[in-house]
Order: sequence, then structure tokens, then C-alpha cells
Amino acid sequence: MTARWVEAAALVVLAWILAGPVSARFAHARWGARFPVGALVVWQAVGLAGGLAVLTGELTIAAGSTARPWRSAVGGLFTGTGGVAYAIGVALFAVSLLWLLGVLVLSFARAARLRAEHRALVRLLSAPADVSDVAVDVIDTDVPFAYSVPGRSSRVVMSKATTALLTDAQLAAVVAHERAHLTQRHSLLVQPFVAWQRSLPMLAAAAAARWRVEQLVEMVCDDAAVRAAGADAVSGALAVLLPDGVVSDERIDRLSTVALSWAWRAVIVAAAVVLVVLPPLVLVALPF
Amino acid sequence: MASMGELERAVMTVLWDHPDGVTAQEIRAELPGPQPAVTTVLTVLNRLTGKHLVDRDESARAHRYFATGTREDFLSRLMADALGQADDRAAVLARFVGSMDASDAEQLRRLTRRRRS
Repeated sequence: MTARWVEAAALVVLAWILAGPVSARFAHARWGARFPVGALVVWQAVGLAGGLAVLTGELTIAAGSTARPWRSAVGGLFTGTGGVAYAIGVALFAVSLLWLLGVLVLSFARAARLRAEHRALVRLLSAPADVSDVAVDVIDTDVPFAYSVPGRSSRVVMSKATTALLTDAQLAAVVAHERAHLTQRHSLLVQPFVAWQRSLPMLAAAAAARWRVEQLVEMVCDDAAVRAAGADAVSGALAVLLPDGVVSDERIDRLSTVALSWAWRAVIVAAAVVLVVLPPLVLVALPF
Repeated sequence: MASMGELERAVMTVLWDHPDGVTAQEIRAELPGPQPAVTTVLTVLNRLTGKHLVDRDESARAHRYFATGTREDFLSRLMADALGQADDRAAVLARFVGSMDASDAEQLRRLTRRRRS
């Protein structure tokens, strides 16, 4: 009888460890700069595993134990034989699931609305131009910046100052970087972490996770820019577009470091997969 | 026939030139190139009103239209998004460099002020 509470508590503690200390520590892991794609995979896994651990824990309260398959939790719904623990477990599960999904849906909807508003601004204030054979919206201002607006009618935007200050190779690097954001749908990877951080603004680890995921996405795009225009062009463009006074930045420094070995890459990706698959696997597939 | 985007831009330019407001007829007269039908201008104005970029004064029989801000106001809003001042708005963009420190914010304010004067 008490086993279910112990197991549920263990799963909730697992979720808390992932969302708290693990996220806080992982946000400062230096290897991410040498394998940003892998680090992003691990971040998605940490987020997913955290959510799944909470949901699994609540199902465990309803079902009695992870040793009893989840079907008994669903079965109780029809027979009504679950008792108090069953009712608590199902209620917690429903509330958590709705909250997690609701936060995500609202966040994506809000982002879509803000993007539409921003696109309207860009349309009014920009002139179309071809930069490195890509259609870019150029804003007439003397502050250098470049960005992309994701979404259905995505676009690359930069200021006139950017086109004036950067060399052709550096512009090619910036355009390749922004195109990588759009074609790889990075907004989908980042938005859950934005949503999580906004829904729990007091949780420092959530802010650290969001900050790191945004950084890693930039690094992935920098790598795409290096393939298109070379490392010199990328570091040159970063030097112009980074705020004044920033001389050493992780994004510049990493361009001259060696990527992680294939063996380490395989280990990291495998660990991410295990992290996600384990909690639900225990619940569904344990044979007793 | 100009695209909707070009028409919106042209109409906004006319509105920015007339802070006291203009009627659709007057806008049509000031549009460059081949003039669209007044109904087309009204359609564009309705779209812009829906996006809160334009306000309408319905007290006179011919409604008067205003831009909800100067061109510089819109530009500062766009740059605040692009340079990450308003963090949660900027979160929806993928900026080449994300961070902007206080001195950049100050420079941005200075630049937009200079352009306004």
C-alpha cells in the first residue's frame, strides 16, 4: 500500500532533480560548445523526462505501483474500484497534463501573435533586397543587427548598417546563420524552454536552461555559417554585431576549438535517449 | 497592381506625412503611381486598423485615419524587439546576437531621438 507513495515520490524527486540541479549544472557544461546539436538533444530529453517522470509518478499513485502495469490505472476508471489513492492519482495526473500542455499551447499561440505583429512592422519599415542570393528585408537604420522571424511566412531581416559594415563573406555567413534557424525550425526547440521559464519565473534553473538552449541554437547556426562562408567570416561578423566591449565570447572562442570525438557524441545521444525512454518504459513494460 | 504589402507601406507613408489625419480619398490622391480604387484604399486601412497600426476618427461623415505612431515610434518598437530590450517579445525572434547591454540601450535611445529631431 505504501509502495505506491514511495515510488511516486521517487519519480517526483527525479523530476525535481532534472528541473533543478541537473539543469543548473548542465547550463554551464562546456562541452556543449563543442557538440551543440548533442547538447540540444540532451536538453530536450531533460525536459521530456522531467515531465514524463511527474506524470508517471501520478499514474503510479493511481495504479498502486510501477510493478503493476498502467492498464490497471486505466482499468480502475471503468470499474470504479480504485479507492482514494486512485482518485488522487488520476486527479493529479489530469491537472499536471493539462497544465503542461496548456502552458505550451498558450506560449506557442502567444509567440505566433507576437511574430505576426512584428512581421507587420517589418513590412512597413523595410525594403526588400537580395543579400547573398537570399531575399532579405532591410531596415533603414544605422544600428547594426540581423535576425529572422520564424513562422509560416518566415523572413530574414537586417539593418542597412549591417549591410554596410560587413564584408560580402560576413554577410553570407549571417544569412546562412539565419537561414539555418528557419530551415531547422529552431523556434520549436526553444519555445518549450521559454514557456517553462515564463510559467516558473522564480525558478533560476529554468532561466539558466532557457539561456543555454538559446545559446546552443546560435552555435548550431554558427556551424552552418562556417560551412557556408568559413570561420573567419563568422567571427568577423560576430565581432561587428556583438555589443561594444565584448572581446571574448564563447561563440567566437569555440570557432577555433576541436569538435567532440564521434565516440563521445554517440555516448551523449544514447544517454539522452535512455533518459526519455526509461520512466515510461518502466511503467508500461515491466513484466510483473 | 501593387501587392498588398507595398500598398500598406505606401498608405502608411502618407499617414506618417499627415499627423492630423487624412480621409481615404486624400490618401488615394497622394499615392504614387497608378491610383487604386478608393475601396482598395479602405481595405488596406481596415487591415492596418486591425493590426492596431492605424486609428479611425468616425465623427465626420468621411472618416479620418491616423497612424498610431510616427515612423520613428514604429522603428523603435521594431528595434526594441530586434535588440532584445523587451525580452519576452524578442524571444519570438532568432537574433544573430541576442544580448544588448545598458550602453546599447542608451545608444538606441539616442539614435532614435536624433532621427526624430
